[in-house]
Amino acid sequence: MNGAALLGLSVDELGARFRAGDVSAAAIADATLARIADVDADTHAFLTVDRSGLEESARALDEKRARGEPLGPLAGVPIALKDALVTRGLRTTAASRILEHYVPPYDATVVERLRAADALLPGKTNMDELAMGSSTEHSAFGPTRNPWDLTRSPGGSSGGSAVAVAARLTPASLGSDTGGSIRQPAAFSGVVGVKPTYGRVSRYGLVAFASSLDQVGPFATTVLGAARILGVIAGHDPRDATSLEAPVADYVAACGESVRGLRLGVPDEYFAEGLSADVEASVRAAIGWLEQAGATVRRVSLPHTRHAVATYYVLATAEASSNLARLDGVRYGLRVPASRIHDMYGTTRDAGFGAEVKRRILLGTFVLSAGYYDAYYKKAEAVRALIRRDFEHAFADVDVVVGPTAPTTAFGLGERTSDPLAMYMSDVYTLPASLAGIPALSVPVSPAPSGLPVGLQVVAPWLEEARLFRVAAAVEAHAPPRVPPRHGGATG
Amino acid sequence: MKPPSFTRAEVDHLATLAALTLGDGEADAMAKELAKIVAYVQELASVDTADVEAERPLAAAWREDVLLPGLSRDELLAAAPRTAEGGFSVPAFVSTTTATGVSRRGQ
Repeated sequence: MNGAALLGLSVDELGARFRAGDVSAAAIADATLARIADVDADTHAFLTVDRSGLEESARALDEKRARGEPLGPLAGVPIALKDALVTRGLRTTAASRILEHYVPPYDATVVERLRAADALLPGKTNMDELAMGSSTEHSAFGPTRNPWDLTRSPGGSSGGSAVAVAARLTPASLGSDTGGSIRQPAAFSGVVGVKPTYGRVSRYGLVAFASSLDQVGPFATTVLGAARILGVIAGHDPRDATSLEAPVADYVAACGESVRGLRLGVPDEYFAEGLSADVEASVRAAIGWLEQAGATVRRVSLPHTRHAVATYYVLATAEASSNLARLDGVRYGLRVPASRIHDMYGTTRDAGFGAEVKRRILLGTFVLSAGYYDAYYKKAEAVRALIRRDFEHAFADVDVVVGPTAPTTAFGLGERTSDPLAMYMSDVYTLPASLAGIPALSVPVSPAPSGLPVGLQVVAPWLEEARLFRVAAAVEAHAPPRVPPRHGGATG
Repeated sequence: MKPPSFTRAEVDHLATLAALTLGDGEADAMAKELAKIVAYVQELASVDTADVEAERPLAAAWREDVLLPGLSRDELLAAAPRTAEGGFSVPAFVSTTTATGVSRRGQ
């Protein structure tokens, strides 16, 4: 089996081959590096490839296997990391000039957990700067391209992590999702992406954007792969004060459970104006598959959905304006010298931040400023409570909510960069679950007639991630993982 | 609510609050974009929120303070743009003429 074919395997298939001794970690590492060298000049999923770290951990893992020691649940599986997750000794930029040369002295908790599970970590993936964006075009280091059509965006902000998986550079990756930054690129790129419950996965070591929303989650080529990784990274971490102490369910087992008798809610508001006909057709067909498999379907209403974009852009920018105050040229990152400290902050942040980040910091500063706080920030917190209540009402009658992940298929590069509001609208269906703090996932369904991927979003009540996997596995049975013809083409 | 507009002076004030220095063209562009975005988010005013109290999704959990091994000073300073005598070095932030008599200037 050649290298590209090796990387066409899923998390579970590749892990099983390594465990069985069919392939060495060194060979997997070589294949990964070769594949990145072959494909990623076109797609630009990676910002930093850690060749030496990857080769060293592969060697150590091969020795561990040779000694007959017990292997971790992700042994031999390459997993790419969004560059918002800090990695000890490996540059972590969050795709921002202000962190271009930052080498963190510690690993994020999720990175520690992947290492402890014997995963291989080939490097750091591209993203919108500081996770602010929906297209990966706001990266300070150039956009990531969608392997299904290189003239299109892969979505964002975790576009590099989505494309690493879609183009089969790695069978899985980690991203972060604040308002849709895992689910929307998963839908645009044709892979599985999961945003867990707020607090389910530790954010210790995640470059903070909006702390009441940020959550780390997996991308994978298969539902089972995503379930296995979530099982590894989920769980309490005393270093994150918002981390939940709840037990972690068996997500892998959930992938094998039938959807018979499961009650699906289809929100009217997710099939309203703005939804493209192609996306609607694919999503409705997938809901039909679930019905055939024994699920029941009923309409539900989430009436405050239409306020989610405004609510999100008030709350997230307010939190960002506060969080990003730490990027000031003092303790780490860029410094542009000036003779007075306030001038140094200004010149550093002017040179270090791109336009979208500045726009959001200014908006966040505005909504928190004296005289406007009640009208914007406090009001948005109240609307957020109504959005959460919408889901509580819906979940009184249904087990999960299903609908489109995004209103369109992947849009063209440059199409929305000049209109921030148009860009924000691509998150209209993912924002409500983020604001409610509940888990949601995107799984590929039948592609649009153009061939571009379409995602079905599944939303579950608080801490009910297992239901997401149960539904997604049933969808995947009808829409098996697809590989982009040129840039994912695993031949032979 | 009145339709929002941002004067150049208002944008400059926000930039000062946010410790951002904006170039001329940038500040003018931001004024226009902020006005558009704020006009959009003003729709929240139309939502009836009378019977909801703003709630946080989760309260931060408290735990006991426990002494654990952490990063060394050298490890932490390694990422700093400028250090001096085992600390972060910054430009002047107090005037040499203040009553405290502090006269040290850094850069």
